[in-house]
Amino acid sequence: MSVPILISGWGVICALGVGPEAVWTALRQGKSGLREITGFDPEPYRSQLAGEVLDFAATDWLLTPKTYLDPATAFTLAAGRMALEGAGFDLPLAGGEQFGIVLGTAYGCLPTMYEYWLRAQARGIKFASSLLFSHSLANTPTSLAAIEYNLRGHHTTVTAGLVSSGQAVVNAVLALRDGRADAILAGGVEVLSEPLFAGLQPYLSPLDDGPEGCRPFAPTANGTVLGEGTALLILERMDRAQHRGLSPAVEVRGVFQSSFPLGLDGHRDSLPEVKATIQAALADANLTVGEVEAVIAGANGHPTLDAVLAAALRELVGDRVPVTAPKALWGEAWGAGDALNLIAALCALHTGWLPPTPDANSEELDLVTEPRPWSGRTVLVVGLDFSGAVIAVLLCAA
Amino acid sequence: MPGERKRVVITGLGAICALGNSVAEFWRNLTENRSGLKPITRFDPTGLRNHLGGEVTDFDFSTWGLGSTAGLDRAAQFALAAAAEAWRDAGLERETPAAGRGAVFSTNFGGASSWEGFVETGDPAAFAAFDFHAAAGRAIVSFGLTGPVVTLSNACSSGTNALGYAADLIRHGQAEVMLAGGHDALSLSALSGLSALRTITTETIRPFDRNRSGTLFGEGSGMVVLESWEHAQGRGVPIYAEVLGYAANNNAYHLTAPDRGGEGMRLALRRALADAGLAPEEVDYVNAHATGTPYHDLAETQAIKAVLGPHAYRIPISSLKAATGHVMAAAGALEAIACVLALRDGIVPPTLNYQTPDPECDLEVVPNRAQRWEVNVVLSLSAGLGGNNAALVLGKHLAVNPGA
Repeated sequence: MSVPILISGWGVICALGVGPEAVWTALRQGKSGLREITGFDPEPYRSQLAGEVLDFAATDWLLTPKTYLDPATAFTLAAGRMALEGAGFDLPLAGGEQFGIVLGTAYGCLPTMYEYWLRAQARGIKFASSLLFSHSLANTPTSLAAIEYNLRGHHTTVTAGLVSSGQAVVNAVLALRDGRADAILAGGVEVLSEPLFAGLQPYLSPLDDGPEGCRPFAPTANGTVLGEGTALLILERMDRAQHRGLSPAVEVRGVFQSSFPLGLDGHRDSLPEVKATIQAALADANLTVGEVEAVIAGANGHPTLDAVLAAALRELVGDRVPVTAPKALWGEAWGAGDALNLIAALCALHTGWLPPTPDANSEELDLVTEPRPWSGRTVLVVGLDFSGAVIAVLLCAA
Repeated sequence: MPGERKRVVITGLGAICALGNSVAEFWRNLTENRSGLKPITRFDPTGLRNHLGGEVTDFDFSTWGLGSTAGLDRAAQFALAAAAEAWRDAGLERETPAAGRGAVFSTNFGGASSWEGFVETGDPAAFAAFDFHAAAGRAIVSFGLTGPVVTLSNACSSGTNALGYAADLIRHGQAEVMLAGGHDALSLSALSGLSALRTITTETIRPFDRNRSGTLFGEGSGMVVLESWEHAQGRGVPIYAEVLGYAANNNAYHLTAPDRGGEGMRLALRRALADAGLAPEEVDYVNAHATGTPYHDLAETQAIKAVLGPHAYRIPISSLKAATGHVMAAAGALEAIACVLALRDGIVPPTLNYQTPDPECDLEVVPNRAQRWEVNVVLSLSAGLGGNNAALVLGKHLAVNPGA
């Protein structure tokens, strides 16, 4: 057996708040963070809603002042600090060679990329800004977090759409099992900006004449609502965590990822691949499907995506296990989506409450439509990208 | 199974770059000491520090049997074409799709030309073509993949990271067959920034040369097929080489400046060798990242000397960058392909444009002409903006039963 991997710290920023306490409180109350966009004027677009992060000040979280940060980097540094300090590390880390970072982001520093290119064209290529350019790469948040906290070990940025952060967690877990690091800061980040909003319009509610909103697993679902934020976990080999005097709380027991040709119009009824991915994650965790006690699903209100997940869950767990999709509350934060769902799973395991999916409705699944007290020990988190890439992660209370 | 590591072998290669649109052309031109650098024609390079680049020419996606180019940026077309060559080379196109076949692609800039188009028009279709994961998403359909399909973006170490991670997925039993590599295309939006950072030379690229003054960029894709040793044996296909070790890390030093003394690269090299269970003296050739920038090449030389000790002076160490240009995420993948072919043919590729020895970069850099050299173990190193490093150890495949 491979060494168990513990979650020893976490940080989160999303439309429901800044920090785990604020976010868990809102999840337990089933509050929605979706509202009319304030960061730019959404008037030219079909959609007006988003899960924007409000009341976040990067300066509250920085160890040293910075000349410039893309919002994705600012989110990452802040949530990284929450996670590292929560896990009991002094910052910046001493040594750091056994400490890595794996970050998922679908679009990285898009606001800076956009600003960089607009200005370069306006001023002339010869006068392009090296500062903005160096802060515009997809791996900039990962690298700057490594520099800020002295994370000198295993290092990767994953850019795989909606499953970027789920894949980042899989990458981190495998690296830890293999001894490539003792601990890894893993998760995802995505920031809302007008270019992102414009680029992702084909996925956003309302796709039809119905009302705008994020309604996973609801008959009235008509597209997703864009969210933003970050969720970062400290994943740690149990042998090292115990060496630090930590007692096991929650373990990442099993991971798996796979794919199949999905396609936005290719509505599929039978989803052997999603089911097989979950089964492989269960096998990796040495668990049976009967031991799964709750499912946090990556459903986001897009009818195709949700139908695929619903079909797989119907076959696997039926109405035996509560299923919820917290994207209903904080929106679809793309590359941070799976990591935020892991924060929801931690909320369930630590507080004993499952967050609701208010408008969900299915006779074949036990959908959680109101905050529900829960006393299980095993949660399945499943995510799906429009490309057909799937991830499944099993968390267990140790 | 957890805890057990499967052996991982390379059974297919695919290349698109300025040296050619197939592995055969790439390797022939490389070992005949040719450079693919020429004036950039795809866009107006006015305002850049240099108008030379490693541009891909005579590339026609329709000849690859991969369907329409609709929705595919030039960078994604490179990736899919190189992947198709590798897939064919591994004999997989004859097979029916099977479980556990996936891909780890990597790109620094995604569909950068499509991004420029999106900024101009706001068209969501252009945004979709820019998406970093677009090429991998199409690969799911083109190759009938049902295994892990991942896209990484680790700046200029990406291609090496992709191969290393794909090998890890096989080692851990999360996949059986993986396409792995990197892709990027030349674009004004990316080159303008790289030019502004003064990484680009105003003269020409001269890795390890005393008068080196910066790099030149190129475009293309390198892809390999990795599979478990058992799987390759079961299919009865020829094996090019074995993946022996891998490591990735970060300097945690500076966003754009190289790590003085190459501390981060030293750690990556040491860890990759430890992962392979090899001593420094067992390395026969090092494929260096050497981009031709003054600080990087020095730091890399220092790192190689620190890790290999006196042995560093006894083996060839060369850089492909003056032949292909710095092909960004494709660099590590194309360099791994050159390493595989060096293992096969006993030839090490040259460092072109080398004129004046640098007393600080005093290793045997294979100046200007490929050399015959018996190679059993190679070390390939990559580094990138943000302080990313990745190192890969490849070895000649020895037909030994892993249990024996």
